Amino acid sequence: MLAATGYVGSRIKRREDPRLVTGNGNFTDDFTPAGTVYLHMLRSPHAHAKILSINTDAARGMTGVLAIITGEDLKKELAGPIPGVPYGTISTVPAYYPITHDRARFVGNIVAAVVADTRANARDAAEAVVVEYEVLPVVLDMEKAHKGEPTLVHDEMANNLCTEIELGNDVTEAFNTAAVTVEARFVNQRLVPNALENRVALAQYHQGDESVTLYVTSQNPHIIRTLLSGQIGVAEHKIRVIAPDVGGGFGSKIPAYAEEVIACIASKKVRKPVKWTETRSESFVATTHGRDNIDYIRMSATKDGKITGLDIIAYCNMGAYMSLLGPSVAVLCGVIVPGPYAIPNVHFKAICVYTNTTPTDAYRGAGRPEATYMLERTMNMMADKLGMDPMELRRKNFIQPDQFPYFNVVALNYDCGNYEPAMDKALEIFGYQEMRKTQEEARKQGRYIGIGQSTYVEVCGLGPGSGMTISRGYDCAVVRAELTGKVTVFTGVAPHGQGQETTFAQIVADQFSIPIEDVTIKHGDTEMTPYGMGTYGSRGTAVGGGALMLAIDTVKEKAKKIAAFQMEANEEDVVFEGGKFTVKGAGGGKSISFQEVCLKAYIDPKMAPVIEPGLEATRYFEPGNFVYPFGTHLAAVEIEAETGDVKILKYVCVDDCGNQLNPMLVEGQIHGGLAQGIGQALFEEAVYDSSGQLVSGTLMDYALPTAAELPTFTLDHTVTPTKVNPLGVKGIGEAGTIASTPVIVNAVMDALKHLGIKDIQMPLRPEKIWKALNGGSNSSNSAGAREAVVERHFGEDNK
Amino acid sequence: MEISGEYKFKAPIEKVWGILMNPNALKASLPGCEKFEETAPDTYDITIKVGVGMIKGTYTGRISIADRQEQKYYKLLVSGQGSSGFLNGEGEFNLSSLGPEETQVNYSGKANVGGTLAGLGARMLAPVAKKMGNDFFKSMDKQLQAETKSV
Repeated sequence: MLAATGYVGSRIKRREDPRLVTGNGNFTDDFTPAGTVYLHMLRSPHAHAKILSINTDAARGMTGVLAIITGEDLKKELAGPIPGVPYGTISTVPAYYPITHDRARFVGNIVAAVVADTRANARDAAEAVVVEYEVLPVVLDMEKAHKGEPTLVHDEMANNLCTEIELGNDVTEAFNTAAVTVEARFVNQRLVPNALENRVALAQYHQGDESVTLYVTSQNPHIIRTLLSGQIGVAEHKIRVIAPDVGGGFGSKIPAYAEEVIACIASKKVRKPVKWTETRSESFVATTHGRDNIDYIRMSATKDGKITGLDIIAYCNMGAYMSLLGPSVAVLCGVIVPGPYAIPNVHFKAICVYTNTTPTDAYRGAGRPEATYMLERTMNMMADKLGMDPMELRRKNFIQPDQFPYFNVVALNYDCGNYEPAMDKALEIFGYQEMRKTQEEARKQGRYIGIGQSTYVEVCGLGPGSGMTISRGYDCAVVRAELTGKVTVFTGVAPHGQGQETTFAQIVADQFSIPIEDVTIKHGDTEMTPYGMGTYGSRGTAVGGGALMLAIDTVKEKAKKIAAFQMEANEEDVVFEGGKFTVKGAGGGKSISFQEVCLKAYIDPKMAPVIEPGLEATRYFEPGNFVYPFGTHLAAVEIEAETGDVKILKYVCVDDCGNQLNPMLVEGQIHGGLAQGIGQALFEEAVYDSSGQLVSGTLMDYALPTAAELPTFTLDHTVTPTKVNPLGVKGIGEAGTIASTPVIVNAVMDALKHLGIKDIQMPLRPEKIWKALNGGSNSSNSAGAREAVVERHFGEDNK
Repeated sequence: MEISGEYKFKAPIEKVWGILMNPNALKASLPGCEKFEETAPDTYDITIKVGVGMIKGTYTGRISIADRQEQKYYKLLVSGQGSSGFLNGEGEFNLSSLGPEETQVNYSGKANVGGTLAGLGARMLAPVAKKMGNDFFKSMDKQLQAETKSV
């Protein structure tokens, strides 16, 4: 349990910020060892093309050029392709070579790499490389790609099918006997993660001991080390991966990438440190994208609103190759589709398809936003059909507190939850009933106000020891009490915005009753920490924090032993309180401070035969389950009839992430998540033209939300601690993104409902809403209302 | 991407036709043209250096004149690629005489772009293309006048 001495639970400012906001951070691009040379990638401008020839003659002779590497050259040096983790029906993964040698399969696919003494010379030389292409037809439409499309992204993958994943039970009976059903088709559009810091790789091959050091923008340096070993053929103990300060990732810095492999091989070749720094326009095509699903969903219910069945067919766009967790994202969607509702029959099928687009992978929420979006939209459609208020339908179907632990039919065992109090609190803060009146009044004046809802549960804290598709899930910590009483912690998680340098220090300071200034949290270097799984899936504190607690306990045990020795007392009589070890009971009263114990641990010769020197512990924590944060989000929007513009009038969220170590950081995480979730609802979209060109490839063309487009958020919480980890915490990194997208879309649909507008697909840009208001169709995108299409989809083909 | 426009020369149609078909004038009118080599009749390998905003770099490719109808019509086919993308285009040119000393050229073209170029979208490319089209005719006009003067 937490010792409450003040730091934990307080709004302590992030300790990492002074360094980051004053230009004193150490990002990968800040490192430039003596002799560093630069790497530039020549990328395919075609979405699908056969490479007929590559002529590097002219480029080789240019100023400063040290090496030009083609796909054929690289293949000779490569131990293995870029890994992707298969799941489901198909286990074949088409080889994804860092530099392609036969065909370019997406705009941005690397066809050659140039190493030169300066960035400019590398870039100039890349221009002189002549690639002869034979342009091929492109595969872009997921649904067509899968059914009879003659063009194949990979010749060996029939129907462009990557894999199929099926979860849940048989829902046929539920739908056959249903009193009420609703069906819909939702487009969950493709997003570009856009971390503030682009990707960077700095590789240094050390001739002396044939080892490699890679500085890289990674969320999980140990995993990258293991994967890199398999790709470059250097044994793992000869590779050091360092992820220094990393400026955001949102999942896009999880996978293994081509550029880091090329940098390592190039460094070995030219015997110099090699650096590659991604530009923003490069990032748009070269870094994995997120989402891009087409979801068919149907829901059945009794006349009085008890949901009896849920059936989903999700087309998931993998892009041109399988990125590390491509299909795993679909799994994360499937396992949580029933949400917080007790639905007895649930079926989920994902059809993962290859297309000539940038590969997709995890993006903040990864699968859970997709699940929550389709579920919460459908809940509102069902409420409309039943003539119920959407909140009442939700209340009626919530899993009840006495039903926990609750098995959700698909895969998960929710350990705890208490959904109604969060909902009631949100309704009250929001003023739900008053807002309904405001809405009605506004309607009389011809103004369009709508209310949107989302009551979500998510699954995070990846992950439990068993139950994940890829690996056991755990993390580690080393707690080292130094000779002078200071404490250094080495954690296996890799924070890149989450703030564990602060929250973990709060925990340590409280646990040892020492000032927070006496604590340092280190991370991101495989030579410094034990094997850690990194930071993603809202796991840093839920899993890494658990390991920290275990290591602290082990250090305390040994400290107690030392204290007992020093005070000539029985260990059982010694208690640690207020920073002191004190002897209790008869003859008690003696005490020794934590700092003195540290000193004695390292220098006292009297302890030599009795107690091993040093005072540190390495512990791994492997939770028995995921964690399940939940909450209720509500929003009110007003649509400007003349322009179709959406204004968010009010946004209220009540989230439950269990115990909060630092409410300020929790709020920061929620704010960021809301911005990204609202961004998907209203603004963001990766748009490909009919030839597979990404036409929204700059920050001028891809609309990220800014503070100007967002309202003031009203945040509150309930606290339902989990017993899954020692801190009672549930991750909060993704909740905002997961919950907010359907809230905004539900609100817009609610505002337009009385006009007979049934659906508009995201992003809800003003022009789409304006068209809908003015009787135009959104035919290209909006099939939500085309019931025949949806019905056909749940026909015999997909049973 | 589609572009179209018109340009009026203060010259008789045969003179305008002559300058438009003159390889040297064509070379001089391609902004940033560094290499211009005839590889087949009416077909030239070219290297062009472009520097407009983000659309910067060296492009290599081919330009050819096709479907000539003397003093009336021709097509210009352009293909090029550089490290920031490719461009394939086809332009149609119609000449009409407005008088003994005035000739109008109407042009319309379609271009496909790829790579970083496409990422910029029509937002940036269309104005650039329009400017380049206009510069092309201005340059032709200048050479026509220079030729007339020297004669």
